[in-house]
Amino acid sequence: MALRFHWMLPKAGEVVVGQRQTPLAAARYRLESTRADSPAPRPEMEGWTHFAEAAEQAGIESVLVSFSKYEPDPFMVSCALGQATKKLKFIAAYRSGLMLPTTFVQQFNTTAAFINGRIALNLVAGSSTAEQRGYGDYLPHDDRYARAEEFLAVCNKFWLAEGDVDFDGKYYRVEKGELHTPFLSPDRRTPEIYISGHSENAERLASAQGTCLLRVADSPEKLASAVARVRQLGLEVCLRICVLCRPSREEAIQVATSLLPERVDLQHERSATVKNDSQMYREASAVAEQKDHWLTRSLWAGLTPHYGPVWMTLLGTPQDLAEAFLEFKAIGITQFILSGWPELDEVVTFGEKVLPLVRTAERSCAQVVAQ
Amino acid sequence: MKTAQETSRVLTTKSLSPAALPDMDGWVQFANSAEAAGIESVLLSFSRYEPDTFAIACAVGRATTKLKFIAAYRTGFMQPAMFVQQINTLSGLINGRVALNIVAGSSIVEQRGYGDFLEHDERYARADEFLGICHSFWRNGAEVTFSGKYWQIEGGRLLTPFTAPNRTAPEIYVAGHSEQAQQLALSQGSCWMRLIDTPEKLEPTVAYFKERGVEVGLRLCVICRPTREEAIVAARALLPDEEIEKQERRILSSSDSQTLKDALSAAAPIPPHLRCSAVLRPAPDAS
Repeated sequence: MALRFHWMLPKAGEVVVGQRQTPLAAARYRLESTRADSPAPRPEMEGWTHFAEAAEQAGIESVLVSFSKYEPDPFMVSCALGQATKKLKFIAAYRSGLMLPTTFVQQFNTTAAFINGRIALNLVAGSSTAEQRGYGDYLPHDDRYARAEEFLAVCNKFWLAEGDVDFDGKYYRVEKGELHTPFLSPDRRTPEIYISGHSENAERLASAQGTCLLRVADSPEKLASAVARVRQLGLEVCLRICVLCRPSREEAIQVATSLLPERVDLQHERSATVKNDSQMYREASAVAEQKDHWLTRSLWAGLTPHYGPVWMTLLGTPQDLAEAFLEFKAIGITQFILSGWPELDEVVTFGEKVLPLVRTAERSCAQVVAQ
Repeated sequence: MKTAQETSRVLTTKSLSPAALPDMDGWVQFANSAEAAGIESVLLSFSRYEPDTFAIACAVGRATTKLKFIAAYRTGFMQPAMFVQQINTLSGLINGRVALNIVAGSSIVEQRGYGDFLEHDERYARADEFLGICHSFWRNGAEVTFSGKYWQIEGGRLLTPFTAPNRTAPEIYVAGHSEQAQQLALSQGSCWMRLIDTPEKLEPTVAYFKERGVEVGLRLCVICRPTREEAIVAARALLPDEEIEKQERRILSSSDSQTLKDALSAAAPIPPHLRCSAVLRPAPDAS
């Protein structure tokens, strides 16, 4: 199976048609997107559409639309942007516990119908306790997974049901649930469901109700056994990672290190991005404290202690990156959600320089297997 | 063109009805005609038989320029913060052309299918708290903290604002004939929606709402023809056959909505040829 590549949808206002961002400006924009004066909370169709077209052109399958109190709602964004695109899919992030499952399925199915089924779900059990309470959710971390499992169980019942849906759980109760708007997609009966997280709870939830476990990158060596275990459960594994591709490795390193906070005044944003009670954040922060931050020759954790685990960076030449992706493929990773500084330039480079190398290698590998 | 029987509410609740699927071509065509006709908004009704109203407003709103959308939503299905984030995002995508038709609930059976087990009166108390929290977000000042019977929230803050050329919060239509619905319209709404009656009967209530700064909107059907006789003939042609009528009544009487109870008792003693067709159309309260 060919590797599947997705990309983060840039924050609103991050891509401006006719303007070019430097990597540093892009990094700063993202870090400052949680500030009240950032344009990021306001939907911005022109820049998004411009990016979406570039991503489609580059061979990107989907964009991940993230969920937080700092950003517009992912369903509405997917619905609007899905109409302005033809092929691109949307992985809409959503936190369970903020909506009853029946309503959620009704919204999801309706959105899917408007955009020819080009929507998947990234279910997140929760975020920081403070942010959850700001949404009216007071459950502790571990209970959130139990609730998420019930939530998805009800959703999957609706998606698979032949008749009414009944459910009597600890967190949700539904009696004779009926929705007439079905989930329609050219090739699926239920949406793909990505579960984020590094905890055992996340793995269990993915295995019970999801299709893919989404996690932050680490070295193939460290990931191998966990990935094998998850694949055994019938799940795919998707890595969230930033890419920085330049004609030479030295140039890539130079750009990457230019984003370090001691080089620029980005330090003050640290608390907002790093404070989080999830296992993923704790683990990734611990990884980042190791050695000199080089997890492999091209995998660099230098930015994660400052900005959080999703700033784990794969950097180097097109060849370096292609090889790194294939090493991940060799241990069973099937998908990636990428990001870059700036998103637009990096997705174009990826489509022109990196992806063709990956596809060529995959084809010759398939030929070897066939022989 | 479809006949009355083909557009009957009963038929739209059948699982094979096309009403369950979004129909962009038909909707955009209608929206363009409505815009050209000088119609300000379309009401999008909410039920388990239909697509989601926010998603429809988003999709059709992106394909139109002037028309507004009054999206019906039932409180109790979503945390208020989540709800505000969605409608604020929607407003940003369609230039603020969205209003809300808040409905406390529908039939007990349908509510339970949505996972809501509250009784009629409590649903209004919950809707009052719900809209109170929404308004706190729309005032957009300090963080929102609320500790009520149905909702708690601590340090709530959403950065995506409600965006419209001339408003910082959506218009809120509250539908329903019950005492609680009227109270809710007065405490949290901008317009009370009800079924039509004679101006004479409506006058005192309308005056009462007007004094308190709340508008009154009427839900009704129209049939306009060159002559009154032709209009009456057209109206009569819409009378359902006996079987459909029985089923319509069954749907309406299973609801614990005061609007529908009122409407049924108002319509019952009237000879069929004079009955207001609004009775048998999807009423705002059923949405």
